[in-house]
Amino acid sequence: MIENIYYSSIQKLHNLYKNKKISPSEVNEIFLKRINKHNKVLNAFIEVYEDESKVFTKDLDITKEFSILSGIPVGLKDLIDLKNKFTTAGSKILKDNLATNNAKITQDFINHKSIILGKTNLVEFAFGTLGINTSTETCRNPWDIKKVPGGSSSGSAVSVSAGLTTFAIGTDTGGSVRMPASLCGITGFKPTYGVVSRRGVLDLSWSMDHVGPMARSAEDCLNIMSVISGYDPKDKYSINLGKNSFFIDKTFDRRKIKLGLPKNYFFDDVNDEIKSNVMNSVNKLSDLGYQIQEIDLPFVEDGRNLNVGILLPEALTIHSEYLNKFSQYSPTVINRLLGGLGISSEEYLSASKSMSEFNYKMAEKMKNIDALITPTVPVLTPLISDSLSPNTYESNSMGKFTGVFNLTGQPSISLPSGVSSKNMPIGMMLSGKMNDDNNLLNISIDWQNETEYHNHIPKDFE
Amino acid sequence: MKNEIRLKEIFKNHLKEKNIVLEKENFDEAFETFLKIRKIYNSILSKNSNSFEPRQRMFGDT
Repeated sequence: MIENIYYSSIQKLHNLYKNKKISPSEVNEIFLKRINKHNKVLNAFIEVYEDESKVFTKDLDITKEFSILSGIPVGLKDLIDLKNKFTTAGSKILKDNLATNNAKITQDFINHKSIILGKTNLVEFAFGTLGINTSTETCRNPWDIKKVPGGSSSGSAVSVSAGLTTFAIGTDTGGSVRMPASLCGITGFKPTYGVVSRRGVLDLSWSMDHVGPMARSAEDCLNIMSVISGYDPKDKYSINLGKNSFFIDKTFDRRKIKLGLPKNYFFDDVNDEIKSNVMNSVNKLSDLGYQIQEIDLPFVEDGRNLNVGILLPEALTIHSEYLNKFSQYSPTVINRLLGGLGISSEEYLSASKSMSEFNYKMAEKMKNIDALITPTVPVLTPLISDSLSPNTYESNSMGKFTGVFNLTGQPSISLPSGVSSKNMPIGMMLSGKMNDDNNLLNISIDWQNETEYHNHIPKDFE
Repeated sequence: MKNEIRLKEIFKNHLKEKNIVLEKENFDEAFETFLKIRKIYNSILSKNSNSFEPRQRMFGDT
């Protein structure tokens, strides 16, 4: 059970503040000490704002206006701008890139008086699935420090998993919130495309990029979403779900929820342990009263190819201004990026139309169900030492399931669902209908109210 | 094999245009990614989705 401050829920910390059981500066000290103790091994944070957070929380101790995220520690993936701080994207190329403004979500956290502890590590330019970064030093999975944390929001996942922050923010272009969440045993939520503004967040691919919370539970994710969602007129991809779109639905009735279990693709070529783990969760959901409906998705195997096929030329376009510094990229990233050379505008347009057809077919299938249940990733967590090439089996397979929902833009969440025989976390993914984010989070909260997997902590970080 | 040699020349020309010089090991890895992407595009281009607008995610009644 979660009992210490490192692993407290947002609601619990909020209640402790309200009842004056602890102050924000005390919480800040606890987390700073924890970061100092463990970050040298884990490399979860690239930069820690120790002095700034101390000054900030001293003022916060005497404030009377507390929102749900006030005094809650947060780590920002280092693609997200914080004014007068460097946004390096985990690269040598952008080591001197000083942000002149706050990202929209950074400003949300400042407005709500959250404690911004620092910037979290990532795969260089967020371009990779395993979490390897030779420019910043790869961060390590707290469940086994010889293994990868998953990427690209590796530091965000590791910092939450090891209790170095209460929550963190990641970005997700092909699964970069959900994959590391799955590998590190935490909850990672990718909202519907456009629900969280990307203003002030460095792009990897404008068609596929999403920003989302990484936390210990779906309820924490919901509390974070209630603050960071909302229409941003300065982000041309932003959409409006309406006011108060994120709340605990008191009328929620699991017996009315239909969960689609794909007959194909999502359970083919999946590691046996992962498959059996997720099927156990499916049986448990059925026992709880959820309606499980098998579903055919004959078109779905094109999804990851389209995701990568569109992502890569967009990434290459974004990187065109840096390519003259190609020797400063880490080899894994530049070797992957250059694979996108030579895609013509006609080819890209054709892929963009195929994306629409794919999304239409998926939307038709989603008409009669609330969410799809699948594994988050098809492979077990590999060793860091086996993961240095961009073309390993695990690297190529990791985003096979998650990338489908970057293409469609559907909300999608990775939830802890147990551990493997080698005691590494396994994640189950639920993916809902477009704009139905609150329903998906309420299903996830209901699941976590009935299970304990999300409360498991890596043994060396208790 | 012939096709791969042809694609290798094409890839080399793309690198040359961008003034990018890679060591052999990096070239091989980047070329492997390039081949993978060409394969993906061959598959994408074999389908005809011309009746759709690009990059749609919302569809009236769905």
